[in-house]
Amino acid sequence: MAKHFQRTGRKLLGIDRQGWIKGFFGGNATLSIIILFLICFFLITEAVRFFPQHHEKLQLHRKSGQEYVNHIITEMNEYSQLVSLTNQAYFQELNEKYALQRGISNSFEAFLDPLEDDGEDLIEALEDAEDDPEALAQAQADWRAFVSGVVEGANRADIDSFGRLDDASWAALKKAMIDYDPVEEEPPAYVTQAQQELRDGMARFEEAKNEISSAGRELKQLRQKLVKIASKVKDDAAAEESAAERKKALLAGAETMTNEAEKAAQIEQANAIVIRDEFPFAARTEEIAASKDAHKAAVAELKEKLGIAVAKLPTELSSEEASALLDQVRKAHPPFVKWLDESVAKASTWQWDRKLSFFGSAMKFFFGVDWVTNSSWHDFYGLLPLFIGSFEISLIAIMFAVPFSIGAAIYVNRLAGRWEQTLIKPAIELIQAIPSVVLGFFGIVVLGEGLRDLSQIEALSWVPGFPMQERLNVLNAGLLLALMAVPTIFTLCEDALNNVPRAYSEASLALGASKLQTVIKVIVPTAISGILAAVLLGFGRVIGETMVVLLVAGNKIALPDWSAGLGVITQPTHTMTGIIAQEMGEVTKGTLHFRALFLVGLVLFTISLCINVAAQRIIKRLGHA
Amino acid sequence: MLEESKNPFVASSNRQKIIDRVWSVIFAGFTYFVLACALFIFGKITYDGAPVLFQAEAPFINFDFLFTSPQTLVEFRDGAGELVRMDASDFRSFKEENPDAVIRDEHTFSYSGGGILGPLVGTALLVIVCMIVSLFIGVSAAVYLNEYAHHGKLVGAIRLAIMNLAGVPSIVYGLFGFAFFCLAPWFPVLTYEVNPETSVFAFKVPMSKGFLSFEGWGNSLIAGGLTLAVMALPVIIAACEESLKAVPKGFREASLALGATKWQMIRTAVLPYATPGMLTASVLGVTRVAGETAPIMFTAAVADKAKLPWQEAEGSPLFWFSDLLTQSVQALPYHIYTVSARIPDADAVRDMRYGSVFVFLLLVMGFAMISIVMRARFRSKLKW
Repeated sequence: MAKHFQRTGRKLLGIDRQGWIKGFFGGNATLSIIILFLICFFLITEAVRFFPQHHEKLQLHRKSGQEYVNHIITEMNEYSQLVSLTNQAYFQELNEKYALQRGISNSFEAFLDPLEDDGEDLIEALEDAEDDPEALAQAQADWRAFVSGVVEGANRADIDSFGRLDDASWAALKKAMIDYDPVEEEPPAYVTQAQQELRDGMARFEEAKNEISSAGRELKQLRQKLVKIASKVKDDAAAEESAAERKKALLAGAETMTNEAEKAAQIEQANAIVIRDEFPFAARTEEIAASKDAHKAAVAELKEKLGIAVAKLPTELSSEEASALLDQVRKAHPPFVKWLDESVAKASTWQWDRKLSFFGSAMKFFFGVDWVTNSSWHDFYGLLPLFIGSFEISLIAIMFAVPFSIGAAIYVNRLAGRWEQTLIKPAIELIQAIPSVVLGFFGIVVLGEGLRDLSQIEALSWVPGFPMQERLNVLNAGLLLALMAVPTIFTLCEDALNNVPRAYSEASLALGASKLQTVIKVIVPTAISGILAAVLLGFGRVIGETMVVLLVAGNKIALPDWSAGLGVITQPTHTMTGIIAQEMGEVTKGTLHFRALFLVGLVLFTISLCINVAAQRIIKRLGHA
Repeated sequence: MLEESKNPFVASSNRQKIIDRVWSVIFAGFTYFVLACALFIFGKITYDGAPVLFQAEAPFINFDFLFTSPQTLVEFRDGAGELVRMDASDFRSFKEENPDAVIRDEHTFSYSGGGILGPLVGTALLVIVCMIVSLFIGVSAAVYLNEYAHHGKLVGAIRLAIMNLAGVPSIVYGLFGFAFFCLAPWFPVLTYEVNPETSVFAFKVPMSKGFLSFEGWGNSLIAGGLTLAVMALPVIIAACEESLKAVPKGFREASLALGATKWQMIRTAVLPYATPGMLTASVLGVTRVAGETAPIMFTAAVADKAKLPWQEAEGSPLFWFSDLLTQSVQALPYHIYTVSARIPDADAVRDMRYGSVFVFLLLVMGFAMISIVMRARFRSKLKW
């Protein structure tokens, strides 16, 4: 025994053996601080370098005139949405009101193919026999026989492929086909009549539709012209920036060459690169600056023509969907016109040499509404849609999770029997162990389908966002994340309830309060700090979740369309965690995109740290009260 | 006044009883609804996934699914119009053997054929690397915090750091691991061919043909394992501390009174009794990391790999080991992500999807169950 506990007195660097052992353990413990520090360090070093690089890109964006042209592009995009709505309405109406006429016209054309292909000889015979009445009669008889053969033998599903014709008109069309004159290519009267009806009926709508789609012609041409110029300027400017380096590299390469001719050629190539102090942005963007008036004129024309055309849109339609679409157009028109004025006003302030503040370009990241990468035009890095997406999903998850987990915690801690307690607690903890990728998979194959089927039930159409368009959306992801948040909130809540001193509940019960009154009025208020902290930590867990949102949120980068009201919860979205997981694998180290993703990571990290700290504060602050 | 006051000991009114009853039913309903949701998920995945893993005739388990690696699945119609599905390798030999076989409507589905051996092995290796590292550091840190540390500033900072580490989103760990372990060039690799693009410094290893090159680990087993280890650390430290705390103070005092040094006391009087708790901690850690996808997505995992990691590694033992550690691996959660999100939905991929999800869920839930049972036993047993 004595030997076992013998002390050794050897020292190394002035520290004895016990000191070294302590140091070893202490060192490992300190690793957690070092790791936390390293995480901060790596996120920050990569993320912070995003800002100057981004600033430079934005400056180039401005100097090359892309910023100005971008206004026109967005104007055109908004306008094309109106156009596409109108077109949809037009075809909706056409299909519904004039289905029969359209069917006749299309079926007639479908008949022409076999007739003209197989009856080529007969048609030639008809043409040849024009002057000879006898031969003509014979040829016509042959033709008729051929036509009725073809018509009778035709497969109705092939000819009337959309099934628009009823039996009577199908028979009428078949009969009318005999009258078709292949020489003059004159459709039979039955068909021309149908076509005429269709044309007359839709004339007003078609005119309005065409006017709407032609209203932006000038703006479109302007856009095409300016996009080309701005892209060229940007590419040239970027190339020139690297000119000095390229020249150096070429010359260095030439030094090592042994072949004299090649060497000379390379040196010549290097010397051809002109290094200027400054890229002549002013001269190159002159044309863009000069087209401000043209832009104004084009927009004015668009507004005027659009106004006339929208007024011409028919108000009474037989298709409900079409009139709903047209209502949308009419509703969107006045704000669009107003927005156009603002856009033009904003665009006209563009000057290639106006200074761009560093702060302003940083704000373009935090409040930018576009996240577009790998585009040939310009990459936008705007956090806002991703942030809102993450926030939306987490909020829904927490809203669903809180009542369930707090209810379950109260039940298990205060109301349930003993065996229920011993079974339910580990069972809920088991839920925590479900891997998120499995939940995501479940969301894709089961919950998505299930929710969509559910949303199509008539009786549920009052629920905001129902029936849902997309299977993968905010609600789907939020529900799955709610299930993930339940164990976290439940466990912490249960702990908080457990920590309430027994004397409190005993005192309350002794005063005659019922069990429920005790829980609601004594125990929950006492444990409220723990419960709040639990909810916060649950939120932190949910907002940092990756796989579920990557698989289930729909991955569409866009601000929620608030016009749908609460229905935004059934729209697809994208999240901060999702974008990192999706794009990190494909970027090159050190690029702007790479750093943007690290910056998103830093934002996430900051959020989770803040939530943690806040939860700890709440427990400290309220815990002693 | 006197008439109005009631006996405070009378039973509460009927109305209150009913309200109590209703609310406790509502709370119970909440509880069981959550459990029912979880049960439905298990049930659905088991219902669709179990037939892939189990079969009616002996040996009852579909070993092909467990012991072959994923490969491309080919689906076609034969001469009789029957739908046939076979793995790409079988398909090739089938075509060689029957050159005139009629093959129509041929479709291929990536990663949907074969089994899940590669992903299983990869996940196992990742977890092993992670557990070795995180247990070593975690146990040491817990020993320090519980046995050595006084309540000073350093200890406060360490605890704060651990608490905050536990709340960091897993994808952020992934980013950190990607930048620190994969890209940063300070980690050395033993290799026969130095990568000129990433290596910052390399020298020849004496008595071998290879080099020691500082080029970062890239997308590799060790980078992924260490990233997971960082993630598991808070869980393991917390669980180990719990088990150390459960060892009664008397043991330590008795040991010290007998003249033991601090380290001898820890070695003989504390650690042996804390071992069951530490085992629980390690199972908890496995549960936490085995299910994670986000941290390994760009630090370790690949979707496609022809051979198993140890088959692909080569060279003399030391180099072989380095090669093994610096290889990218397939991993089950990443495989699930690939088959469920990155290849189009079709009937042919259904089996692979449900099969791998079922096996994965079985594994992770198994570990979770073990950890919960172990912890419950540990807590009830170790009351001195």
